[in-house]
Amino acid sequence: MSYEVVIGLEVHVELHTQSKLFCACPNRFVPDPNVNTCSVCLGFPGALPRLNSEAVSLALLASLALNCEIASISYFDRKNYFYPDMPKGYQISQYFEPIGRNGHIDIEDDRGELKRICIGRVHMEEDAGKLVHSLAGDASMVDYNRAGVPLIEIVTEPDLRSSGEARRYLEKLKGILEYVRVSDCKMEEGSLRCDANISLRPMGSTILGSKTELKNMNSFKAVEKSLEHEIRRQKKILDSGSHVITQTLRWDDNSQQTIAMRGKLQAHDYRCFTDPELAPIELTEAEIEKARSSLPEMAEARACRFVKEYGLPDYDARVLTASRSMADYFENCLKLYDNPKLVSNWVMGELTARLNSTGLDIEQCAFLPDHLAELLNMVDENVISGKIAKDVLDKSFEKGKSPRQVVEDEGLLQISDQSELETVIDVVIAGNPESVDNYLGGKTKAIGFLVGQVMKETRGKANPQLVNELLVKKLQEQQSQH
Amino acid sequence: MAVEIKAIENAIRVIKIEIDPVDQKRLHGELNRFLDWLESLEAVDTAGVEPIRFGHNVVNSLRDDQAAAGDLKEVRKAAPNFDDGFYMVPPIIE
Amino acid sequence: MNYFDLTAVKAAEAVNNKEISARHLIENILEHCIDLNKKLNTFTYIAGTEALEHADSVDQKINSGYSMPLAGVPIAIGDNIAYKEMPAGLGSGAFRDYKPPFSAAAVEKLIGAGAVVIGKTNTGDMGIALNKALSPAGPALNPWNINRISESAGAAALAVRQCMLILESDSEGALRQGAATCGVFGLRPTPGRISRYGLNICSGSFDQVGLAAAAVADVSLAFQAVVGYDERDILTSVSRESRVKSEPGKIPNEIKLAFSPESFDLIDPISAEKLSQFRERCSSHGFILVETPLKLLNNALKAFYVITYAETSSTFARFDGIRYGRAAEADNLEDLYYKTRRLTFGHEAQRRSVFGTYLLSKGNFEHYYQQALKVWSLVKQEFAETMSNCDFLVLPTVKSTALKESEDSDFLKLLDEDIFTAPVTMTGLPSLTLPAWRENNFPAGIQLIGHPFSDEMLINIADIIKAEIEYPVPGNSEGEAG
Repeated sequence: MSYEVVIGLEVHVELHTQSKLFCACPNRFVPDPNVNTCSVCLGFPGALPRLNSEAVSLALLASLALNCEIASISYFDRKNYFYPDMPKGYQISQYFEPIGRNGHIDIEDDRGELKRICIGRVHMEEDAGKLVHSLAGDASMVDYNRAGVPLIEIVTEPDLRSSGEARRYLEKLKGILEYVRVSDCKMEEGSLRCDANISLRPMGSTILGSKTELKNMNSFKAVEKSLEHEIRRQKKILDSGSHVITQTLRWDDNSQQTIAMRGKLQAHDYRCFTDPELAPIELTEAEIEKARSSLPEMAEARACRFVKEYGLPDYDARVLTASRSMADYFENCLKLYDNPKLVSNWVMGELTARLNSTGLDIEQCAFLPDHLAELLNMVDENVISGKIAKDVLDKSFEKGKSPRQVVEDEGLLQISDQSELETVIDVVIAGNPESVDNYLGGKTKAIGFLVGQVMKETRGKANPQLVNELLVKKLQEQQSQH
Repeated sequence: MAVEIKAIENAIRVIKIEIDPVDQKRLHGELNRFLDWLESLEAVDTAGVEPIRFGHNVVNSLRDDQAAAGDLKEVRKAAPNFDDGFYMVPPIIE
Repeated sequence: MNYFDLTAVKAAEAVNNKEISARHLIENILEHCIDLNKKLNTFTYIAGTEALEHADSVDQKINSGYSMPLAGVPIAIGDNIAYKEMPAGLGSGAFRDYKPPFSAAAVEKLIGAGAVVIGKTNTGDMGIALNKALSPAGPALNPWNINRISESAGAAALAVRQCMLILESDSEGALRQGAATCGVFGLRPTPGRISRYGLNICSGSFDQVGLAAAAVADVSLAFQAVVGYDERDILTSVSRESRVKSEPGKIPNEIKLAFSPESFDLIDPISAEKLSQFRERCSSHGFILVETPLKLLNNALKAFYVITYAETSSTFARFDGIRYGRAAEADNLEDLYYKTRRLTFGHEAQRRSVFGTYLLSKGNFEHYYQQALKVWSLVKQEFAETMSNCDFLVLPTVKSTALKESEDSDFLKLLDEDIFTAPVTMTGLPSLTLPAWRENNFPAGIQLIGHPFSDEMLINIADIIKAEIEYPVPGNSEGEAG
């Protein structure tokens, strides 16, 4: 029998704030346990929560970027259940009125056609701590560093129809959230987490089958793989005439399969009600519009503009705009060096290669857009050769020095002094009679080898065009002498 | 209609307090009387009335996003079982 | 000098003028306090040398030329309010040795004004009113009638001058009722006037920090010291705005007092008679009297309890024996929860946890909890209408001052005792209980209820009304406690 796959995703994203959602504890990773904790996030008697304004701003921006309707008033609710990683015995979340509703993003479906994925809700909530089990199994240890870190949860409608769609949705979502700078969206570090609800139904049916929930997928690849695995598993069950049991499954990366989870997540009555300790968030139309107008130009629009305005190929435009920082880098560089395609080549090629090999983000790198402009200008001015330029980039990238400084410090100025070059050329001609003969014998290609020798002698600093000119002149002089 | 003692048992399971059977029975009786007491509340005509979501006259009471070190040292002293930076709990049996 | 006839105002004056030293005052008060505590059990902790040292530091300041509004005034704090120099028992067996990591904002402010904390007053199970919930320390007794448990231990302590000011919580009305039956002044302020930071809140919608004193001028002085914005309690943001009512008129014939006919029906006949006389007296003072119906009192009380049980059941979930309190010996996590929470909670806290959980569960949420929230809205409306017709509303504080054995009383009857105080709590209006008459030699108080933020006016008007009544200290004249 053929089935239709129905997938909905719940994505948790850590908001990029300085402090936690309801207290001033730093919102950043530290290796030592229970360092970023205080009486508020540990739920001490007498301590009271206070909402972080930046978290609200970021949640609002994210909701707008995902095309949501914004609640003019939203509340915080308590979701009640016990677990040691939850200090208060409840999680503060927005259960009844999320800040954003009815949003969407567009992705490509498996046939490459545009498809709209509806986002049911975007809501704010606090993260839980972390439970570590002792090796001996005689105790568990709780680290509350993460407890109270601000999250948004983004929940799709069950609109996804394949593991590929799920992956593309996640990639798109990550791109958008990075663009609006609400989160760094690093799945490996847990700042983006994804749970999936998945069920199968006979093709043509409109009734949802019983679903399973998948957790613990820590990469996009894992999401895709575990969904594929789960689709196969459910298909097998349904084909055999059995029923899929509604349960929570954990993806195990090692064995590449899903495993039923225990304990924590049995069916719960969370007894949600509005938290009497947190005032509602009221947003006026003007505030919402102000936030909307502060949204950056998003990737797709920017790519279109890059093609139109700078005449870049589609491919370049898409690669450059995939990350907001890279697109910003590119445009900042253009302000000082107006050759879009050349800048694009350098950013996508040489610079990206160095970023990849060092593992740095473009905004962390010391080689700034004006450095790249300076470098390209020096090549144009014949101060350095294109080849030397790459060495200069290396040094500048590494040390954060300006390219001009590097060239001066390392004595890499291009040799354009005629008499200095003639001396070298004389030596090369004298040392390579065979090539000279070849050239004079009509094999004009031999000039390339001789130019190369001159470059080698000058350690690349010679102005190659000038070398070429001088060589030809000298060789012609020799010919006329013969 | 009176609720059964199961209601008490369920609530206890959720709220995780050890309560002796005698006290459970007492609570059961009290719950039924409490619910009877609430009858007149149920009868109040609230058609078209919006429930109060937040009882205090405050909105948007927000804090600036500034990080600061917490009262870490004092807070740790209160922990009954704290070891090597961790809060210790007995093993979780599921 | 007889220290026990001193009001806080006079004591501070004497200390500031160096007529007496703070140390001497505190020494005498402590001795008196310890002595009376054997009989009344009003304190769960009485300070020793720490209070004397603190008094010395006050004297030092006075000697170096400072003057402080509450210089040397001995104050006591409810045991569910944090003061980091003393244990906070929270009315729980699991917190006997608990030293809170911080001090309550209001405590800090009183100390800043020169007050000296001499101890912690007895509170019921988990801070719930003493007459409803026995604390592990047992009941505190009403000095006027030691067969009666005092609703507020602090009010009882004030009546026999074990201290001169108290800070205690007020939710369903324990502080106001205690003030009424002990013959002292008790203020439940407009939410947001006094920071709740440091109070172990059971029910965020209703719990407030209140204060009481034997003289109305003392309430005024203390209120000035503690009032105002505290960034740690979001409700106090209202104190930053200029919502506070300006200086009140002092002439009775410019002031409208409202009485509700229902009050006369809901209290016992003797009290009803006294209330009538009180109304007459107000009239002869020149106050303008108006009548206002309050038909919802009975259902307001029920809605109050549905909401407070629900909130409390959730708030108490944090007591799991992991971050604070005493942890029970346990083999596994579930065991830890069940046993720790058993030793943390008494009968009343258990009842509130269980009933609150029931009320919030699926199927009951709409029926009880949502209905209670709707009735809450109606109650607010009814009181708003009432207040729109008057400057102050007069309501009884307790149903009767007659002798009762609270311990064995039926829990529903005890809830009924809150019929005048719990509904007022729901309105967010400030309420001051002041001594109004005597019944069989027992003091009785009434509540004066003002518009939001009219707390200062309430105190002033109480000063006019109280001029009629003078109370001797029990024990000095009655020979009951001392």
